[in-house]
Amino acid sequence: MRTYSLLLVLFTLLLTGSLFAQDAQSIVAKADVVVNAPQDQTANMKMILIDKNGKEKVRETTFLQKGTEKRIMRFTAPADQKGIAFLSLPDDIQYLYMPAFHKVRRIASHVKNTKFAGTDFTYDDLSSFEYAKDYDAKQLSENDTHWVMELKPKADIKKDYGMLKMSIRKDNYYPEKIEYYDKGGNLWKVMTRRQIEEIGKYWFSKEMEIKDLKEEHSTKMILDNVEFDTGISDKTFTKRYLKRAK
Amino acid sequence: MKKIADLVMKYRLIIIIGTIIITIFFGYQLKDAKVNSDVLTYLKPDDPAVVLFNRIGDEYAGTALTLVGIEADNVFEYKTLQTINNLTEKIKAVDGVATVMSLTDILDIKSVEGGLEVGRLIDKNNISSDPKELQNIREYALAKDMYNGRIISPDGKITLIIARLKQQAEKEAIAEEIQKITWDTASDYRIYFSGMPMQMLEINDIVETDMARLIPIVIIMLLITLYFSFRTLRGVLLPLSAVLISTIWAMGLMTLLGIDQSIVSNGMPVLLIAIGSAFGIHMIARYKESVLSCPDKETCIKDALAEVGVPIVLAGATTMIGFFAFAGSYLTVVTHFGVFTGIGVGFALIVSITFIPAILSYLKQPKIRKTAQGKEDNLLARFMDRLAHFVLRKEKLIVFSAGIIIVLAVIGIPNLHREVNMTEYFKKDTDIRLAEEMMEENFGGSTPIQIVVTGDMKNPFVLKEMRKLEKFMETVPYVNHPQSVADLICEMNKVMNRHYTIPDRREGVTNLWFFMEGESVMEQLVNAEASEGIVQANLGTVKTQEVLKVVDTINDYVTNRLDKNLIAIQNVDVNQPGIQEYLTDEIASSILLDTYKRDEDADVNKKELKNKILAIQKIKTVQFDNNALVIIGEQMDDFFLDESEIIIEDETRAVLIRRDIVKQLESGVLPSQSSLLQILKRRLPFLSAEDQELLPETAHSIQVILNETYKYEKIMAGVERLLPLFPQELQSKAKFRDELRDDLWVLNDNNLALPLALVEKNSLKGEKIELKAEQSGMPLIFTRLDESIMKSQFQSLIIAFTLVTLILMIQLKSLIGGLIAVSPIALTVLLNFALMSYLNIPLDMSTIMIASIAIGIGIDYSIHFTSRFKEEFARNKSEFEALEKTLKTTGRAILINALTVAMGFIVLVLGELVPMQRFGWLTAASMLISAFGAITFLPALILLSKAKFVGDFNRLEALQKINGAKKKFKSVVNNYKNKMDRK
Repeated sequence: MRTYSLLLVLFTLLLTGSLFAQDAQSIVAKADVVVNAPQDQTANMKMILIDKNGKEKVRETTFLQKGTEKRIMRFTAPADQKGIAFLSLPDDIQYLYMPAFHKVRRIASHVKNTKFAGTDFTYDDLSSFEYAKDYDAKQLSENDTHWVMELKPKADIKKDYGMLKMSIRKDNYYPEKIEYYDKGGNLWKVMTRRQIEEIGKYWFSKEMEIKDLKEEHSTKMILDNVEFDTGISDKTFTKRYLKRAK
Repeated sequence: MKKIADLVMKYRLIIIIGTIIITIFFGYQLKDAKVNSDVLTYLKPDDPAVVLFNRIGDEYAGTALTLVGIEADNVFEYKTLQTINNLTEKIKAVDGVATVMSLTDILDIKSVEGGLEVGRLIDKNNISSDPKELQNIREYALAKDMYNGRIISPDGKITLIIARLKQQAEKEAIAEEIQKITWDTASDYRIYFSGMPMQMLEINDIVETDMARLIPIVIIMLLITLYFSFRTLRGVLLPLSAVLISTIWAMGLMTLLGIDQSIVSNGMPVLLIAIGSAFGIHMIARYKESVLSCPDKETCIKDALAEVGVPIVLAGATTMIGFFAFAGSYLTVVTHFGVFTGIGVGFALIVSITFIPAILSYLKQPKIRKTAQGKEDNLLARFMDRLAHFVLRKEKLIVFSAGIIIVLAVIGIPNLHREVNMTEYFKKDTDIRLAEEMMEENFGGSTPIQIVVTGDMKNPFVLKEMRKLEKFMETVPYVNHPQSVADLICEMNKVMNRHYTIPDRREGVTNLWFFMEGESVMEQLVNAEASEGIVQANLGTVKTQEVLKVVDTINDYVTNRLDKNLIAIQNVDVNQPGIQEYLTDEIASSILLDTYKRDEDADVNKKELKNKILAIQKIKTVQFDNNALVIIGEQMDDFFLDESEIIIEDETRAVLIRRDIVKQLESGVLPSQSSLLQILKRRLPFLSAEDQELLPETAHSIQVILNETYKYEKIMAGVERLLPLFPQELQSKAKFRDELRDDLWVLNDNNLALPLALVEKNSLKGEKIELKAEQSGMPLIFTRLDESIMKSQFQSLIIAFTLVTLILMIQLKSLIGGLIAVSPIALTVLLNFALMSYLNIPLDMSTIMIASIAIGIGIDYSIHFTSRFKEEFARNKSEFEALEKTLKTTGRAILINALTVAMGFIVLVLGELVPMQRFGWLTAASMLISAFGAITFLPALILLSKAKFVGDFNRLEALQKINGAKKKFKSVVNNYKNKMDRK
């Protein structure tokens, strides 16, 4: 799996060099691959929520991910929320552990545009970063360093957004910036990835910021102590583990 | 005055050109004239209530609510929901709109199979077209307090789209935009608009159309009056131009100084035209008179100006005093109105004694027909003649009647009520009133009430006190649907733990809070630091008196009944003295609030209720029925399948453990953790060391599950015990049973908030709960307006009375004289209040001005009358002759003047705003009353008191004595003669 995706990246990189007109869809698909390349990852994630008056709220979590769809996020700070933990599994299955009641509850969400834990990300925004699957891409412009793609939801896919504009770096296919437009064509949210570094064999951004222009609210996610491919067991991503882990 | 006359004549051209330039300048300013109907700005901005209100508006976007109601046979249809969604999204996009809530974008918290969901009631991106599914949503929404009566009417036919506007936004402009969007998007439906911004928009429209409609009417009235008075073009045009010029100046100046028009000042032009014309009329009339006896035009004008100058300046000054008395009013709009109308009167005065004579000097000298007296005048003369005789014969009756009026007024005045709610200013058949009625009927009203609670919003006991406050509010008449963050926590707790309560630990609150983090409804209910929260509710009445009562009732609770000295105690032992009783009282009162809000007259045996609650506290064993045991069994199965700390591979072992546990429960006692551990150890003998370690944790998890069920069943058993105490109708209500459960739930809590006395009595240690509450919202603003209206009324009355009386005293050079001359006005003011009281007309921002205006204008009549009477009396006439002469000349003029001014005011009756209508006819009535008072009551009082200021009554008496003595002497002489003759 790991080698496969790596090969894919290399292959596509080779392709870029040889072909002038890559089609937009495949560039976006490559970007998806780059972002989702690690087999698993662990990190400490700090979430900073900034309201319109510039007031900040800080959340700290430990973060585990395997593949693109299995994820555990456990809150370590503030004290208020310590111990609350999220488990996301494929097919939109999510569980939440509430230490105060010693209970694990399935979180159903037929409405994916609900915000996740006070951040500016909806559950849908976070569910996966695979854009080529849900959107049709068209190249808008390019310069020496970036392509700018226009992404429109595929006919059978319902999204909150009418259109996305994605800036993809030419050197490593990393999608640096995404602008989300509402169905009326107004710019709504802007996601920016910063501190894009090569850690081991993967490209990775340590800071991701999303700004909701309508609500004048933004969220920064800052990762550190990042480790890749430590071989996290599937057992970790279960209700049992969610409740137990300290 | 003579000097001024000379100056006017000298600079007549400059005056004319200057007046025209100034008029053009001020007229140009009028293009920027704006109407401001935001009652909040009518109060002083540093008023604490205003400061708080603005802060709430700023921080919670909670004060400017714009409501759009959409009515359909059934709102839950695909097409309608689509329309609502379109509308919602379009309104969201309007600049200045903070948040929008509607059926297609509203928080929903519910439990679903195996879990819970925090999402939206309807997914706007996936609105179902399946009628069956929509029917389910309808039933679900109507069953939920979060929606029923808040966003959807109880019959499911009307739904609201609630837009909260940003505090600094241009509210009327946004309201207009929303109206337009709504008409464009939902024209197939019956539409309602409600909320402050909508009302403001409506009022602005009305003010503008009223001005456009009423000004021409009042001008026509003036034209007619002028024509009949002078029957010349100049007699019509000159006074008219004077008032129009002065009105333009006054309004232009107001705009130039950045002062908006208001629902009070919209009467200004009409008023100025009606009042200001008098000066021009006097000027021209006097000129006509002087033409008969002067050599040339210029001298005639100078003479006229010199003669008429002093009286009209005096009259103008007193009128201005009447208006200036409003300066410094507690209501800024009233101050503005008073000051600028006063200035306008001043302008009219200035224009009348400068511009008019200047123009006259360029016109040909008129030919005066000496026989210009019409038939009407004869009629009026005859009336005056009779009136004079009446006053002479019945002076005592007149004074006595005045006495009766005073008594009636004094009785009536305390019953005067006030009206400050804007909605009441609209006529009953206007769209705004109909929308308000709809809001009251279906949504508990449109006026938001807010209680600001300061304290740690994540502290369970602060939240519990908020819930208590809400429960109390529900029992206050007209207060509906209180809501706060405490309800959201309860709602979350219900889907998490099956009871609608606040957890007894902070951690419980914060865990539930986590779900709602970032929801826009949270921003409307708590601040970012969670150190302050809002309890909001709707007020379902527009009647000011009821609103005031509600504000008082809530204030009383917040200041006196809310316990601000509670101490949070961990792990309370309820067996300590007083605690059980306290708890019982608290639960009982909570249950009674739930009872009375449904049935005010419910007959509940309180003693029995408390006894039963005490008994429930002592329940030691709970009899689980089969159903409960089956459920516990299933919970255990689920637990072992994928949640238990220890993984049990062998299913039969799990079944055995479950059986053991259920067996223990059948006895009615909750198994302890150690007994559970024993069961686990017995049934799982061959464990690895690692798994062994997991056993205590597993036992703990099982105990948590069992404990919860046990507690629930215990309380439900309690509910069954309590039910027979309540009326049959309540017993059958599922909601009421749920509330009993939630009221009793505190019996399960380990941590309690106790009053200081109880804590000290038992020497308990705990943490003081910091808690403070303060009322805000529109109703409080109404009370401030109400108080301000009273203060303004008193203040302006006192100022106007004092100043006017002083002027009279100085003019008459007599203390008593001043008092007597002011008495018809005092009478008029009293009669005005008596009328308002007995005809149930409230004091509002317009009607409070009547009294002072009556003083300002009415005083002229007294001045005119007394000075003429003095003059005639001094000509050695008897008081009777003097009176007759005064009434026929000045008396007649007074009546004509009063009629003219009253006609001007009565035009306001044609306006759309109710307060302006009342103001119009009441002021008109006051004018007539004060004129009539000046020609009846005033002479009657003078005759009766024989006050010296008019002249020496004794002079006549002495004459009479001499005459009497002569007669006596004659009769004595005659008698003597007769006697002599007989002899």
